[in-house]
Amino acid sequence: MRVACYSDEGSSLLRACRPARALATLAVLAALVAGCTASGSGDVDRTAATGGTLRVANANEYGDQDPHDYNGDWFIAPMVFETLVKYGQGGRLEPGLATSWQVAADGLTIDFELRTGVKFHDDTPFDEQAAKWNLDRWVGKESHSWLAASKIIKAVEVPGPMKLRLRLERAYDPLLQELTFTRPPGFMSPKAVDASGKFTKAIGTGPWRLEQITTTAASLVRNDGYWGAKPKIDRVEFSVRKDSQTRVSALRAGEVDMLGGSYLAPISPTEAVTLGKDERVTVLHGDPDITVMLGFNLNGIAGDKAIREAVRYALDRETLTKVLYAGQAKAATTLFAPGIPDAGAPQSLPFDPDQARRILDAAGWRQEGKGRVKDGKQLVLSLRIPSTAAVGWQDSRLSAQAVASALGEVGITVNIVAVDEATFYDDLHAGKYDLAFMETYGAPYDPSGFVVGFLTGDRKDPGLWKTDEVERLIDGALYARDAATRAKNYQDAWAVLNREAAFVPIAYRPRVWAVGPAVKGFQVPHTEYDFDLSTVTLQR
Amino acid sequence: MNGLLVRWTRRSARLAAELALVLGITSLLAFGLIALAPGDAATRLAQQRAGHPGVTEDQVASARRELGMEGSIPERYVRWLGHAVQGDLGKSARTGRPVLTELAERVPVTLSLAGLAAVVALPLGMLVGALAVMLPWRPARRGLRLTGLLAVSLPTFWVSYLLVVVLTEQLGLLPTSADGGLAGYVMPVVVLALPAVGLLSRVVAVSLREALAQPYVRAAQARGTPTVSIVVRDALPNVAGAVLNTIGLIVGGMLTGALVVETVFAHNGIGDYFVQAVNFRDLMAIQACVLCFALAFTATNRLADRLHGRIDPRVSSG
Amino acid sequence: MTASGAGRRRRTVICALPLLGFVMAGALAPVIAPYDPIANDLMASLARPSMEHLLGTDQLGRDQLSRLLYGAQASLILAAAVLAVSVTVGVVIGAAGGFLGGWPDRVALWLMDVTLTLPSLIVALAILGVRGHGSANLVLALSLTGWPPFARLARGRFVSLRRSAYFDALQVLGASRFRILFQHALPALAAPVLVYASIEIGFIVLSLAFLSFLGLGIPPPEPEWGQMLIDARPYLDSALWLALPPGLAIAAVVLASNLLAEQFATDNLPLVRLGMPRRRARMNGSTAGPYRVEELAVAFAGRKVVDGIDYRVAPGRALAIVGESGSGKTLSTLAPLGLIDATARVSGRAVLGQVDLLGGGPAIQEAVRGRRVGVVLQDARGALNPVRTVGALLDDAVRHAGVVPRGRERARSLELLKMVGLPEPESQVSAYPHTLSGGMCQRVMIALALAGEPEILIADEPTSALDVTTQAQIHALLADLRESIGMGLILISHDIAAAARIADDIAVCYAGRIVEVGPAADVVSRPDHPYTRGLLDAVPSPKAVPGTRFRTLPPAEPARRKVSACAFAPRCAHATKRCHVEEPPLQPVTPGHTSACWVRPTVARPIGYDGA
Repeated sequence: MRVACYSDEGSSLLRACRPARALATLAVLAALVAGCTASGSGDVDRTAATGGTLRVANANEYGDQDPHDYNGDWFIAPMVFETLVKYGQGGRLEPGLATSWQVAADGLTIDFELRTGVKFHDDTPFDEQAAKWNLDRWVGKESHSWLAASKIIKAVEVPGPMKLRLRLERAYDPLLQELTFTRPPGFMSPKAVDASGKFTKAIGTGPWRLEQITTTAASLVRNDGYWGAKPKIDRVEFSVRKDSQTRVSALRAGEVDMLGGSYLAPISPTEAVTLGKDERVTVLHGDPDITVMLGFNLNGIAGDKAIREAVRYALDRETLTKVLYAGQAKAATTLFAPGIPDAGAPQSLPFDPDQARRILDAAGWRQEGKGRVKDGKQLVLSLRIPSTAAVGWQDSRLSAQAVASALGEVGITVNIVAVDEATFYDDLHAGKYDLAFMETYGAPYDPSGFVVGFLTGDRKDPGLWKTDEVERLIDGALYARDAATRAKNYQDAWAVLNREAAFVPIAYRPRVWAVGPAVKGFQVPHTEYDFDLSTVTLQR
Repeated sequence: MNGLLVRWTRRSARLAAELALVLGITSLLAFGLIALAPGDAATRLAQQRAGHPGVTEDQVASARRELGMEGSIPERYVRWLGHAVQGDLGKSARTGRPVLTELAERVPVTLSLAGLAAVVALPLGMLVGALAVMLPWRPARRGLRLTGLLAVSLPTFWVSYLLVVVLTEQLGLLPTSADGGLAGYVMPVVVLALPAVGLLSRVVAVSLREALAQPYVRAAQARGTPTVSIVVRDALPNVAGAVLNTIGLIVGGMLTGALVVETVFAHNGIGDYFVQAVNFRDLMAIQACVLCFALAFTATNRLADRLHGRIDPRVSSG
Repeated sequence: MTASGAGRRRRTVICALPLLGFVMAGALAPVIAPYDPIANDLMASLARPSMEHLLGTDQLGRDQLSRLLYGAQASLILAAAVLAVSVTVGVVIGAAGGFLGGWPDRVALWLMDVTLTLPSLIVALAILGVRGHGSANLVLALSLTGWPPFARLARGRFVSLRRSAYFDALQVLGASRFRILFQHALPALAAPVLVYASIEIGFIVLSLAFLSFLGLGIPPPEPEWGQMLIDARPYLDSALWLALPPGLAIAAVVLASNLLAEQFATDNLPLVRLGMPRRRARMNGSTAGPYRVEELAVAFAGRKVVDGIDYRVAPGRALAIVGESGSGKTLSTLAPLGLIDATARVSGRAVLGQVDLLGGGPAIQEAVRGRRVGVVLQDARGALNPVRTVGALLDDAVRHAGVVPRGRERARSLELLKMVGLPEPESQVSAYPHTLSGGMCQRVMIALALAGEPEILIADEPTSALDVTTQAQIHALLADLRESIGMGLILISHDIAAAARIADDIAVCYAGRIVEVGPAADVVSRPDHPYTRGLLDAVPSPKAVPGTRFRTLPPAEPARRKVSACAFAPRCAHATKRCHVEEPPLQPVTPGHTSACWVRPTVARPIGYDGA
């Protein structure tokens, strides 16, 4: 492992960059992107020859690449399609297809100044009409209702040439952050659809144009007319290799040049260790910005607070993290990792099985044989896991067995229920579980993305913790018009979760990448959504 | 000649009717089973959009409408059937692309793997089986017999893992996947062919021994018939019959083997497509796969029957 | 005529050992496993094999040996459950079909056929996908395609029971059908079912591993071998101790199962050795002179079954070798031609013309067969390849004999068919054997044997399966041919009376030796050896007074033959002390008629209807 560095410089840039007052005008130069990254694969070789083809393994298949739908690939989309604003290091908003933006004092309108001289890959110019056409294509549509932006944007207006105005239902500061997601806020050529408005071809403004794509292979070529920093390499070829170990073998054997991320081609902790020992390969660790945790279903037996508290005390998260993640993650104590905006201060969560036993005894759960009983009811928690093979960091089978064994020590019987993927997600949705592993999204979604999905909403799924008290605090944070209010609301929410032992944080895990010997100048992307190859060169 | 044409037409009509029946029954069964199974593509699609398992009823309903999943199960089946007979197999819920397009990408991958494996396994299996009986040296016969049996006794995926670790990671001899060109086919084809070689060699060996133990073989020997003629004329039909009887088993084995090698060696074929479709409850894709499998099975079994009838008059007359 | 049973038994036991080990490991896992297979010891994660953990530990610090043993238990329990369901379902379906016959049988057969063509693992995948995971569904998924072999066994058993006279008898005696079913058919099924079940274990273990690969196996944390292999995969190049033992365990159990399966499939098959393809040796011996077989001995696995037999046949003469089945009469004629099981050891001389068939190796025997010696084997129908037409068979025989120029084979074939008296030979050449009657098959066999215009024709029980009229016709045909062609005939028969009607000489064979030989008339009218006498007594005589009880020989003992004794002594009514300790040589009775008996009952006193 030549390079493995964590960035501890707590990237609260989003908060820092966000002005204390209502008006926020940001015009940051695009050149900022290079240089301020936390980790990289060593020195960029300036003399390296440019050109060449980068071969990247991909774990998932490619569906339709319509940026306003969700079948496409997470990595190809941001290479082809761009957004008005981009998510920079630590959550800083950077200009994209908009050079600047202005949020009105009441927070109800946002004005964008669009970038001039930008053309789609089919030479259609990017202008205010094209921009409006794109937004109209998804804003307010039912299938995008998960995204607050889709519901909050009331109207898209064109106040003048190269100008775009969004009218909002109510003030919502995370909106700009939502607009950095590629799907659905990515922009495509209005000519990329047929007469009926159906998507035909992936034509964007990004640094790469899609050359060819099937469900299992894709090739992209450099967009020489790109407005920003042009990539140095000529082509990128993606090929789908579903099996994690096969991807590792392919990288070691030099068949592909790059793996990594949580979605592109996840590397498991064990594989990262193996790859680290291989001198042909360079392993890169990003910020540990994703929290792995155990969630409870409050509608079942885990509604009993004593049980939740006992589970918290019964898990030795330091050792678990070491064994499950091969020493590459950190034991977690909070909902969000320190680098995530508004993550809050570390909590004290000691490993104390005796305390767990005492709590259960006090709550009336008598030890009987190996398990515990209260009023004739057995203390059994059902832990749902998907039965499919481990994906990257989440080896549910292994983690489940470790948790079951640890909880067994204090008399909590864990019944591991392995179901296939379709049933698993259905069961999570229907609340058919007592315990389940959950993960935060990491950048750029968190904290707003995760809290909206797991702490609020009138859906029937249990989420992580949905009570009126927390929902009120979360709403207070989401719609806060200043950073202090937001921070206060978030911290209060975290305090409630902590008081209620609402979940059990286990580890903060990094996104891990690995590159072959030819790849120079690659940096771990800021987000799972941003595959910036502008600094990469190949040396074969 | 006219009679021949009539017979041919009648036979084809019977085959077509049988195929239609088999396809109809299997598609109905598959449709019903998947529709009744827990898990639901509309929920999955809504969850995929939202990025988390919690989705509202509205979101699920919207996805259900888009996927054409409204109405009762019989209604949906009839609708599917109506489209299917017109050649429209629908759109995949998982990828949003037409299922036929996806099949067209994937079926050739599996066919080329299975085809190459069959081309390797058939002659090799028969040769190993014949040698395991005919070789004059007993240790060699035993060695071949054990090899054949061992080939059907190892878990395919384990063999695949070992091959990748040794041949790709350690020695760097062979690429892991189809991207490596023809060389990328070596390991998956070997893994697919291995159990088929084992099975065939044992079937050939046992049926050859049975054939040679037939009184008519001794009678032929007693007439002074040359060995080559005995093997070709007297033993081979019996052996060929036994081999044809295992065709179904071999095709089934190739299909299950494909599930393994397509994953491990990153050949994105129909076996892997099927597993993913099941995991997403992608009904349209599942139906298409089931049709493909049923077609492949019925076709190979019928072909085997027909050939068997050609070789052994008792089969066709009986 | 098969290889030794002892060696086979030994091999079977060796094959079964891994299976036995598997069952023991599974059953005793709770007793012998050193650790709890699911208890974590995170501090001991990925420990190398040591005295403390003989096979090391996995990522969660669990003892691999214990997991291996408990994995056997999991597979064993699952296999037992699958087999219990499969056997029950299979036996019920098979028994119902076999016992009831008619449409239930057709339905049962159809179900078996359809199920057998289904790809079992794909079916299992579908079942588990739809019904969800868990052990009960695993059992269901694997049993669903596992029952047909058992149904087949049961059906076979019940069909034969239903058709047996025994069943009729039991019913006549008033036994209820169901009692017969339970008391007579089911117990007999136990052994084959057990055998097949042991074969199925391998398949179940392998299937389970495959399902684990798809994430459909036994749910965690219970250990299972296939899952252990998958868990060990990331450690293949760093912790091999995780990956090898479960793989080897699966391989051993499945291989043992498969070996056992094959052992049973080939159990009763003789070992037939074909000659290596080679140019046919030329043999230009003089055709004059008799065919002499001297001091012929045949032994299997050290046990002599033919022990010093001599006989001779002159051209144009007919010799009948008679005896009970197992007396060695067939072996003594086929051994010189190299037509017996390849494991036999043959010694002695068999001289045809000037050539010793036993001295020149297989090449000489091959050169003689079909050309100078024709053979008509027992069971004419079985001796005709069912997938070839009569004409094709004959053409081949004619071609290989090389007696007519190429292209003229068919004409010669038709001639031969006419010669053996087959009606309408022109239309019969395109017939397949299964369309011919028994007598016609026999005629075709004789025609085939005559294709090479042999000097000697050996006919082994040519009439045994035929009705009396046809028997007489075939006998007449053989007698005709001998005279018209002038070849020597060796007739092998258990029917001494019939043999006497054709043969010039009769040799009586008992326990691998010739005990009496002489001119046919002499031997039949004045039998000397008590065994010959016994054979003749077994023949119903038209002159016998009605109500006469046929005298039959006492049953043959499966006797281990004493080296120096009269082999017939244990069954002989006249045996003396000497008969049990010394073997009698052939001694002349009259000129040309010899017999091997110490007692010489013909001389001492007549035997026969002596009012015993």
